[in-house]
Amino acid sequence: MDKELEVTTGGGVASTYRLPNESRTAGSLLNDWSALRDRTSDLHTEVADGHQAAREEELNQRTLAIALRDPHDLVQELGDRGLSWATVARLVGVSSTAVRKWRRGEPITGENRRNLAAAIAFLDLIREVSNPLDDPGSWLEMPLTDVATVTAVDLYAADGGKLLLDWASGRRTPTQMLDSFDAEWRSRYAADSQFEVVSDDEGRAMIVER
Amino acid sequence: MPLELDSPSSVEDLYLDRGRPVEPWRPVMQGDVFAGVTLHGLEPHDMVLVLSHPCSMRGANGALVPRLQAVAVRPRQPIPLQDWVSRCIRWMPLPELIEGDQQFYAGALNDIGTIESANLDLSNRLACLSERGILLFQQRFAANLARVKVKLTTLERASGAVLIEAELQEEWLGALAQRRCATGEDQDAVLAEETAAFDEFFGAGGVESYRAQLADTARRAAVRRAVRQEVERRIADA
Repeated sequence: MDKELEVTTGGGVASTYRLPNESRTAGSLLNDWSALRDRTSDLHTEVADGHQAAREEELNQRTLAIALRDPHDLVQELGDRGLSWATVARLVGVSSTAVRKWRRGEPITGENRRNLAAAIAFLDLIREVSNPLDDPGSWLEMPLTDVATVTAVDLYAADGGKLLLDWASGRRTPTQMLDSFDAEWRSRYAADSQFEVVSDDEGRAMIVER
Repeated sequence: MPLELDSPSSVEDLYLDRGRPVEPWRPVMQGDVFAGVTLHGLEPHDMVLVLSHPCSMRGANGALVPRLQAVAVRPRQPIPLQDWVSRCIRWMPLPELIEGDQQFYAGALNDIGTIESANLDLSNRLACLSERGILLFQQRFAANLARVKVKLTTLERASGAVLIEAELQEEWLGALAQRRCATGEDQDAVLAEETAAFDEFFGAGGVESYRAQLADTARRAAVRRAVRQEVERRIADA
């Protein structure tokens, strides 16, 4: 008699899988294991999608709560976390000039208010899921790999932080994350093979040939 | 094979500010466009684009050095964004430089000279380039002078710290100098005093100074927080 394996997902949905009885013929066993493998693969995809959707909902709820605050306070909070104004602009998807105007007190549209709140919600969440992530403001601007110049800001600007949250929670390797971001990242963001930056005797940064 | 230089994604991407004049709290920086000052020995022009490298513009107390390098800004035929990549490398395009003026302007990279920094009138500053705009300017200048392409990421690593310092100095002046000027104090005197105060705060501590810490990208956010907290503290103490 075949053994049964019951799997219950986080949403409480139970699935039962029948494990093949190993006393059967090799061909029959192969068919059964293949079918089981397909089903578990489907389950993996289903669980990953469910996890992604739950995280997006969590991010969305946090965003909505943060967006209740004065949007100019949100700009200030991102500054207080040590982000450059150019980084704030990229997280929100506007120009540096726009952020400059907000800091002078000029109005912020509803869409940008939400995007400001989303950036703060993301920084809070990634700090929690990747504990310990010290100083997310600094981490955002650093290259994610030694072999390319791509930064976390580049990834956030592309998808609102989904890939970064997956990586930070250990569900993707850095390479898987970057491949999903841009299949051409190795060439598009290649580190400079011709020049490098060194410090001279007085501590000034100088560009020299490699 | 052409040099394949970079271009801004949009006109907005090129500028930090333009068209008012720019507020005086922004320190004079590479890529600033000034009217009312000209370079000697060149064809007539009405504006200049500051060329001096950000790390060689200032001396004691954060004051500008007496003379700065600049290039003449001239009217010319428009240079579309797509033509930045491989054409017109003798020019730094300055699209939509002046609000309401349909004329296209560009910095003439072969028309170089020096200007007295004392002659720079902040009320005549028409535009400031963004950080990316400054890096694009550096890239075009190097390409025109030496026929070499340096990646923007490399230029950023070489200039990033001093550009961040300029941004923080602007925040300092915008908070502390602006308050004093609002009470009727002389703007030039206040700017000089607060610039010196920022320079003292930022440079104190030698190898552990905030200026030195900026060389490490991992410490930049902490430096920004420290400066912003110091500004708040000084406002509270005022």
